[in-house]
Amino acid sequence: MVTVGRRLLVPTTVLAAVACAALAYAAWSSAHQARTLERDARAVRTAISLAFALGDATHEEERWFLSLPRSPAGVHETRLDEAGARIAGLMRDVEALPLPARVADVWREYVAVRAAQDALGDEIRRVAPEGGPPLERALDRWRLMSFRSEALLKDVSGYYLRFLDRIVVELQARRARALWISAAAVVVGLLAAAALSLLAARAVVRPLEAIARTAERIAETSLPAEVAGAERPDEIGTLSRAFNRMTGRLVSANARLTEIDRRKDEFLGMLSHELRNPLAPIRSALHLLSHPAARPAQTRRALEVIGRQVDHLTRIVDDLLDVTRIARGKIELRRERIDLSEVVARTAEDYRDLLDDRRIALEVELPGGPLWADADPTRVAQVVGNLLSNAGKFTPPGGRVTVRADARGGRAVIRVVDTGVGMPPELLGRIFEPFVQADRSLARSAGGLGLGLSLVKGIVELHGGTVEARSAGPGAGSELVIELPLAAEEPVPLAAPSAAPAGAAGPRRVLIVDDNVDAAETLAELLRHAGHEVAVAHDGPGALAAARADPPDVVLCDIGLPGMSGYEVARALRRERGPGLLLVAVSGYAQPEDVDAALEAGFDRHLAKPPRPDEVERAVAAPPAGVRAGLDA
Amino acid sequence: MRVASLIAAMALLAACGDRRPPRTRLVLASVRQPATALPLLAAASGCFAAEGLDLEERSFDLGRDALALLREGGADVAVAFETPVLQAAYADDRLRALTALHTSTRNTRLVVRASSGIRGFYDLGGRRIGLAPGTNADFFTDLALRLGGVPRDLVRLVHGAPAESIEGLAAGALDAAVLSDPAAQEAERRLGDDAQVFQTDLYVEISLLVTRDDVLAARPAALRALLRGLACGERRARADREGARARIRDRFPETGDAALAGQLERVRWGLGLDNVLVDVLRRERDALTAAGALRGDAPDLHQLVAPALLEQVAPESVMLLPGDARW
Repeated sequence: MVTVGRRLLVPTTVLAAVACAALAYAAWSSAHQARTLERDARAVRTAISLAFALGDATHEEERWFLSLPRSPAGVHETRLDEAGARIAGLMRDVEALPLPARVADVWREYVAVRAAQDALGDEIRRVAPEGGPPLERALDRWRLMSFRSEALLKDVSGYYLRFLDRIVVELQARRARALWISAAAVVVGLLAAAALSLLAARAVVRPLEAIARTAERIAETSLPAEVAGAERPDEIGTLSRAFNRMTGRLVSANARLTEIDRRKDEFLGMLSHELRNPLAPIRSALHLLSHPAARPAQTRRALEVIGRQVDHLTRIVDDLLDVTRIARGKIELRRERIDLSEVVARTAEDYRDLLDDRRIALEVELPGGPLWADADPTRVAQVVGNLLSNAGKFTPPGGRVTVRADARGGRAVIRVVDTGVGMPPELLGRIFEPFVQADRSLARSAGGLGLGLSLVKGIVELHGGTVEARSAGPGAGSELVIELPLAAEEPVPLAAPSAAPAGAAGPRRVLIVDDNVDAAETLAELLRHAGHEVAVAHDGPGALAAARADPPDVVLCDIGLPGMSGYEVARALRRERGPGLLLVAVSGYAQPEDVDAALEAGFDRHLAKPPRPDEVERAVAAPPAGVRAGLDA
Repeated sequence: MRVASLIAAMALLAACGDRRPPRTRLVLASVRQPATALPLLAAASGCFAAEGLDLEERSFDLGRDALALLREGGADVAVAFETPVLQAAYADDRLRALTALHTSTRNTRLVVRASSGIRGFYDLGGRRIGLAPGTNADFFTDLALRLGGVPRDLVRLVHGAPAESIEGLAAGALDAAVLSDPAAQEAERRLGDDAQVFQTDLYVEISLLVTRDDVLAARPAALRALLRGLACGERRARADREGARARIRDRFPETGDAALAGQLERVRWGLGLDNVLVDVLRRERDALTAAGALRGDAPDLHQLVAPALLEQVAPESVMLLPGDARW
């Protein structure tokens, strides 16, 4: 991946390299120039020193020559020899120097003049003892030559001194150039830094700003939105691609949520319809029952209607709760060794009247022997019942529904085949999703929330089985196939159920605690009708007072009471009465954790509202858990 | 109308296309001698054209005449030997010496009739010596007499032009004459076997490029270009002496090849301002003053010698001692 860092690294490296190269060159150039100038300065110093020394020596020699007429010889010979030797030595030193061309020309002339002076000097020494005009003429010539040699030495000194001035001027010029170069380097550096900043802004900041703007648009729900730069090979490209994938998923999730919301609204609409449907006949039946002129047959039919519709409402609520529990993994199977054939046969018989009423033929094909499985009989019956109910719902009158059960490869295969409306291929994979129904028009006429097959799939899969829907297409009927694992061996015969515990029969004193007056009174009437003595309280303190005033045998207590909850009532009663009191929780909170909480609070049993009358009667007739434990022991 | 527009457009294009700098015109008054032919060589070598200079030359036989034209304003620069420059500087403090053009120790010499019996400078006492007054022949004569130890008043100096001195020698009216080339060569030719020459390396003659102070102030760029052109000519001369002689050959038709070669052998062309020049000017000034040839206030040599332009063009050629701000 070409990272942003690497993209910036190249220009940064190039600029740094250029800057380092410039600085290195400037340093090398300065050092080289310094060495050159130092060498030149040394040469200048040496040459000037020698030229001045030669000038001094020449003056010294001339002084001795010119003083010859006035001074005795001998003394000056030594001084002249010394001066001459010194001059010769200095001349050798000068000739050892690397002389520029101009200086070399001057030096050659000086050497020639000096040679002529040496010859003249010998002549002067020769005529010096005689003195007179020859000596004076010789000394005059000596002076003329000295003028020349002195001028030539001045030329040498002048050249080097001016060269030194040029060195100073050059140094000043170079220092000025160095200052300009430094200033230019600073400016270039600032421009480079600015350019890098712009580059970084283009490479990093702008893409990030674009991503931020897109995020803001997404926050304003302006989907879909994609950011540019996904094709880049660097970190920005990685971020852009991840961002676009995220927005893609958000789009998908948004679409799913929209669909779910739509289906929720659709479900609520159906639920409202399904709930309202039973209420209408219930209301009509109640109106009939309240009529004083109602005949017994009408009264009986009205009660049957109310019972059926209450059952239907109960099933709707149970199905909803079951679907929720399955989705949350909260449902518990009460497995036992059962004969699947027997469950299929019994369930089919339960639905035969329903199908007969719709003029749909029901055929049951079972194997000769049992199909043993470790399963929850209630849930298996619920599964088969849902399949039969579904088949009856989507098969027109005159059609046929066939139930087959057999074993294959260690698994029980239960098929429900109908000659109904069938399913289009695109629906086969979705038919087990909640709230999905095949033919809306027919489903609506037959009622239901579309939860049945979802429950079937959930329960079958909890048992370790599979369910599959098959159909040749619309109008070609459907086949629902369930496979459940069979048990490995035949079951051990169950022990005969124990006799009903003693003391459980006969009328009982019952205390009903419920803040819903209608619920409490109707339940009280039901139990009084069964021969029990019933008291009613509508809150926790009232229940405790009633229990102290007239201790009951059984307390049927709601959980959701005002002020003091049913749990607190149960704990108080259990403290006061001990295990001999039968406490039964009757509540709409019927999740497993609600049942556990009830048992933990001291209740002996938990009944989900609305309880079936037979459930209530059995619960009231049962002994408390403490008594049952004693009997079992 | 269209033709006029076309012509105007072409003229504009031509003007825009002509990138050459405008040429500068300078008038040079020079002495017609091989020793002072460096400007001739530079011109013939294209050195002045390369500097954008149009150099108009006015040629004279004597340096004092060239300097006279400069002083009159008829020339911007002049070439002359150091003696007439010194004399002109006595009369006109506007003169400025920009550079030396040549040095020679043998160009001016004492041509002697061998039959006169003169064996050296020391034999000049009582002799008739011809020389052109107010020229470097004066300085040579002074030096020769000093070297020979002959007082000046013991010598009969016959003033006259070089041609008169040649005739005098040939006729025997003169024992010797101080002459410079080509006159010295002509005298030697006329005397033939009777010719004898005495010279000294202590004598240095220098030709100078001189201008006026007003020209120096107003046209420094043109004068720098002239100096650069002369430096170019010097480089050509050093690189190819034979070629240099060939380039100036046509300017001296009266001089044979051998004679021209002999004269150029005694000359060293080159730009420069050094202490030898100052020494020569100083001693010549003193000698001419002692000889009565110069009257009035002696010229300030620091004012006469102006090294600033030469230092810009060829700094290594300026060897005057610094430290004195006027140099």
